Amino acid sequence: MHKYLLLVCIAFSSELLSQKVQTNLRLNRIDGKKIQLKQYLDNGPILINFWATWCGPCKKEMLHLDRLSKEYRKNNFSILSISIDTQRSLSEVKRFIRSKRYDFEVFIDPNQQIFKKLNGNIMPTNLLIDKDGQVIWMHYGYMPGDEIMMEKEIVQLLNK
Amino acid sequence: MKIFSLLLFFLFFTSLFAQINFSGSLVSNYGKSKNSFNFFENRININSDWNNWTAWFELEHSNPPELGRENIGLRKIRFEYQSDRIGLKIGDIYEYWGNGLMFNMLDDQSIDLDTGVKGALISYSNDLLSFEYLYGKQRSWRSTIHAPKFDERIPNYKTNYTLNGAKASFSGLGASYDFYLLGVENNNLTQALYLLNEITLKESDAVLYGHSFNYSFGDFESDYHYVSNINEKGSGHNFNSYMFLNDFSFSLSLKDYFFNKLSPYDRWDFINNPNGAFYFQQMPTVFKAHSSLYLGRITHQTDYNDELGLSITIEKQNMHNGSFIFNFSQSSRHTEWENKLNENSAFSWNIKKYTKLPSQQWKFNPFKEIYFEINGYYRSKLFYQISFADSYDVTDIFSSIYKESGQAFSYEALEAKTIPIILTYELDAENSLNAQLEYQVLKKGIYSMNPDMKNTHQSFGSSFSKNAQINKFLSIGFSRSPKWSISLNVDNTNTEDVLVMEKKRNNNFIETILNPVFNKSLTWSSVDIVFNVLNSTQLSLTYGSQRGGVFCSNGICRYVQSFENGFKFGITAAF
Repeated sequence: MHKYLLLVCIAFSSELLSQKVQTNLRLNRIDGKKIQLKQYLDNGPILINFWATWCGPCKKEMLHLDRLSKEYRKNNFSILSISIDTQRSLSEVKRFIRSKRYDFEVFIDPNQQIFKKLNGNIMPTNLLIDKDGQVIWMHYGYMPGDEIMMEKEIVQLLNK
Repeated sequence: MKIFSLLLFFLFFTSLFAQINFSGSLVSNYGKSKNSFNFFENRININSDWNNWTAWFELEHSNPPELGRENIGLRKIRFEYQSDRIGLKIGDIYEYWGNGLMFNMLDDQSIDLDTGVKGALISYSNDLLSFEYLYGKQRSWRSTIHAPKFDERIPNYKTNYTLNGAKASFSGLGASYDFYLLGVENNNLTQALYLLNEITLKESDAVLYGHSFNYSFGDFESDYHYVSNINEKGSGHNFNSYMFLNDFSFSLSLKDYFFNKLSPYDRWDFINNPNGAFYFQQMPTVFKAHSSLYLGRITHQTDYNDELGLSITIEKQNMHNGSFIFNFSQSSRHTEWENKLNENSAFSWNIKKYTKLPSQQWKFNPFKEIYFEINGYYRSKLFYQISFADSYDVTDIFSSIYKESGQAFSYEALEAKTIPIILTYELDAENSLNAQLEYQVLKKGIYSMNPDMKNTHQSFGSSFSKNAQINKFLSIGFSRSPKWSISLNVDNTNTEDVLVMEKKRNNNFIETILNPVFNKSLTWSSVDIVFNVLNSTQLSLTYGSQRGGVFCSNGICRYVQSFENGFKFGITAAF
């Protein structure tokens, strides 16, 4: 039981430690190109969104991500959307993204290596990262209304 | 105890070396039920990086895990170096080559699937070309009834391969070409009887090669992948193409996997038939992956040794920020098998016919699904997703004998019509109501005919006590962003498969309350509460029962036993 309590303590201390992402992470863009994260960070802060075609809440959230991407692009803010669909259903990703014509860029992570490196566990997972690679805000899951909190965090970061 | 020593070690290093970045996450799940589906599963991921180096550790303390074998200690470890051109990975490696046709290394805890490699990968890339070299040991645990000690939750057979491969890629002018070569040393040992003595045979090694070709031009994209097993003369093809015209998108996917010819009796017995497609070749399924509960339960099992098929999707965007989707998927085996009398006057399986196109005849184990979906927002407040699926799948063939009087046969098939509906109504900026409704009529059983009998009509024996199973699922919930959500789930049926049904039900009080409306012996209900304590810390609590059956994740399925009258508690956190 004491071991379990220790795990609970770690969970609740989660915001005491700060996470920094490695800026030379290589991402696989949906068109097959490999791009380093620092290419985006050099331009400004980013929001990384992990999603999958089988995840209903993720698709609902994307509508809001599209709006946020269009709204704050002028502030050098980018949204990178990373699908964790496996190779078995990857053709669905291409079709879904191209037909929706979303504003943000889409990447694939079929073996969930980037997802694990950035401590994703629940779908969707969102990370707001500043120019230095510091994770400013991280959020698990999506409920309608979460986009308000997300926008507040983005605005706060852009105003810094 | 080791796990906690490592944690202390990690915290010590965090404070000692401020220039090394550490981050991590924790997943902890506890469950206890009245039918002894108990588990206590904890995993901690730790990531650290220093300049161009990264390290990843996964620690586990699972006793027992929800699915899989007990594991206490270090589960995964990997060190990586990445510069602009050169990359190196040492430890647990997860990669995919040839769209999964060559290999596809996955670690999916929800279905206890792990096809990763322990070894090293070195890579070089520039703007035009890249090279990769991989060497490693691939060991996976699998569940099978053909090996001793079969258990629904604990895999009972270990596969063991050594992989040694290289990949070269060239890209430019909107196209790319990849070439792969992979040597597979098969370290599995088969126990066989020879002159009444049990002997151990080493299984055969293999050499695989393959190509991938990708091309895109404006609103048209296509990719083609091919893999051949030189020793076994088996091969796999996968082709995908997409076209986008205004609000319409069209996609076509084809598969043609033919790595081994196995009779209906041997089809899923990979222990006594080890040649053919390898477990680490997790290839595209080429049918629509569903998030619906009931469609997930009847997901088609892809036979990577012998299957060809296609999937066509047409999507049109509508004015309500949604779309209309149509999908048609069809597949079958290449081979038709028949029972013939051999020299010992016993029936044995023999190939009768081949097909080069997906067949709809039951003799070729056909699968077909037609799916429609409409989704969008009504007045920006109500999200709706209404779907309909018509599915047909011949899952097993037991006999097929051609006689002068006609054909005698026996096969198992399922036919289902499923309507999944999802509704979300946003009351205001923070509060919303959610509902998920599913209705399914499932007819599953054995079709048989004997032309020598007086009544020569095809007969049907249902797998259920009734002719068709009618499944109804209802989930109603409320969520308050960003803190919490609650939902009540009711899964009801009119009859259950004898193989799936628990001998004795342990109803919870929700099922007892609902009993006047839903028969409590055939109803599984639960309450889920999710609470976001902090932005990256989520607690979840489930009380009640969950029906057993097939559970699928990304097209890979396994049977999961029911969870009867208990509770589950979970913590997920990033730190």
